[in-house]
Amino acid sequence: MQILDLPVELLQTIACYLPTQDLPSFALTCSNFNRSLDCGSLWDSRIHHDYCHEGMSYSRMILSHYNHAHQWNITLRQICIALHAAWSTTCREGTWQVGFKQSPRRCREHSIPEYWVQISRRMRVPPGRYDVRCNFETTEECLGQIVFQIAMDDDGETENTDSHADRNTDENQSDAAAAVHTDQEDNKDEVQLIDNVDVHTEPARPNGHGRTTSDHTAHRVTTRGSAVLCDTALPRAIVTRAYKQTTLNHQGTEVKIGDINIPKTAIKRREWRDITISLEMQGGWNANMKPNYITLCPIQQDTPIDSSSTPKLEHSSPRFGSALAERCRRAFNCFGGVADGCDATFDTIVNSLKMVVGN
Amino acid sequence: MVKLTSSDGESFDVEKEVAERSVLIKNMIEDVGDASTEIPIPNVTANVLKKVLEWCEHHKGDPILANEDDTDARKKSTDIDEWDQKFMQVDQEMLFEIILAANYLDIKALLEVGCKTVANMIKGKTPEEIRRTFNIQNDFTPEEEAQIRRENEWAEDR
Repeated sequence: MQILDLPVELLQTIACYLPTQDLPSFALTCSNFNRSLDCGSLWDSRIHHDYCHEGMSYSRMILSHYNHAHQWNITLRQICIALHAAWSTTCREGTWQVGFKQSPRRCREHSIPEYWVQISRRMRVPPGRYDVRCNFETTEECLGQIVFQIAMDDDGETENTDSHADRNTDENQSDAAAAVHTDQEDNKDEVQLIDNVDVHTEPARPNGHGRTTSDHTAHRVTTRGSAVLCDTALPRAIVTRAYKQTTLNHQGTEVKIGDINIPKTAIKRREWRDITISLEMQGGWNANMKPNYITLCPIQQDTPIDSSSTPKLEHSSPRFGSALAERCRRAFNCFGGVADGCDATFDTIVNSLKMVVGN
Repeated sequence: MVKLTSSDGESFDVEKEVAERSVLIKNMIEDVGDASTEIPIPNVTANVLKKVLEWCEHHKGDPILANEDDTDARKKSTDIDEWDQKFMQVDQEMLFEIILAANYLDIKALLEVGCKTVANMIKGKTPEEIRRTFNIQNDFTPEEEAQIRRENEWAEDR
């Protein structure tokens, strides 16, 4: 009795327990192993595991659209690759996404348009309370106004929605500046600037079905004075949002954003929460200023976490993941049976997924 | 008590609760309606059935796994209980026989332990190391191998 005497369904079951990075070796072992990976449910569960509900719903959407409407042979395996590309090049854990947005402020004729820099990053963190700081590097003194936001993926199963809004502000700021607003106190869209710091918390709102609702609005922009917030197009519950106006006057300025609380998920066996941290630097794009890193220092973690699987919390400079995307494209194209024009299909899928998984 | 007979004719008297860890046997007992009837297990030899029943005896109080959602959640981890790890310290032939028997007898938790054990033997290994571990021949042509490498390179740094 050898492993190859096992029926293909059992080889598939074994493959289900392998981490994604071990699948290439598994596939390259022999043709039986490779064939066993041609299994929809395997990729289905992998997409669900790696990309949660967003990945699942979009893989279904893409499958039904491309398989049925255009009869293109796109498998879940290929969608997983496209998801990986979209995820990796936009907001995959370990990668910053950097974007620029033209300031809505009116520019004088012939003047150079003003751009605000936005960076965002996805992270997977255990529930708990964190001290959040951002480190900027500048080569000249400048006044930076920073909009900081943490959005948490909405799994619809938040254990305690009250703690959703739980957060503290910078202890160095005055009490008046460190106003904390609750859902009952504020209109969701009313974001106020109070002196140097304003904190606006948005607990998930019950929608009558015992679930939480979150922002599905694509690129909703709220303007108040000179402050502009851009929400993501993702179904995420916003944990916290803070404005910081600070003078960045030397290399390595560290700005304390505040303390945040990442609530536990009620989903069994899921210990981690996926969050997106985004920073928007307003007041003009200063080419000499760049964010170095964000640190999330655990103050208290709610559940004991297996240290062997704990990801490093932070230390990364912004970078694009275009090389990875190109590799994904090549892998995607290697699958047989894909009709001409699969490049366009890949781009379409990746771009539509970017709308989902990225900002 | 329930009497089970292996494919090679050996009989085993086991508690009903132990035997009913197997969904197949549970259904057969329900169908027959008489637990004293001898139940043939034609696809499992005595030495494998003995091992399977040892596992069932140890886990007789555990809840039966059935839900597919649970299956998905479990697949996130290849952690194996300490007793199960020791239980699975058998030669490869027995390991695959246990997996086959668990699949046939519909004992999901045992199947899971078996598959996780094999997955742990594969994890972190190169294709050549996997072939050596399981005594598998590389049956790819160089062209096929190159294509599969290209197909799978996206996952390598995850």
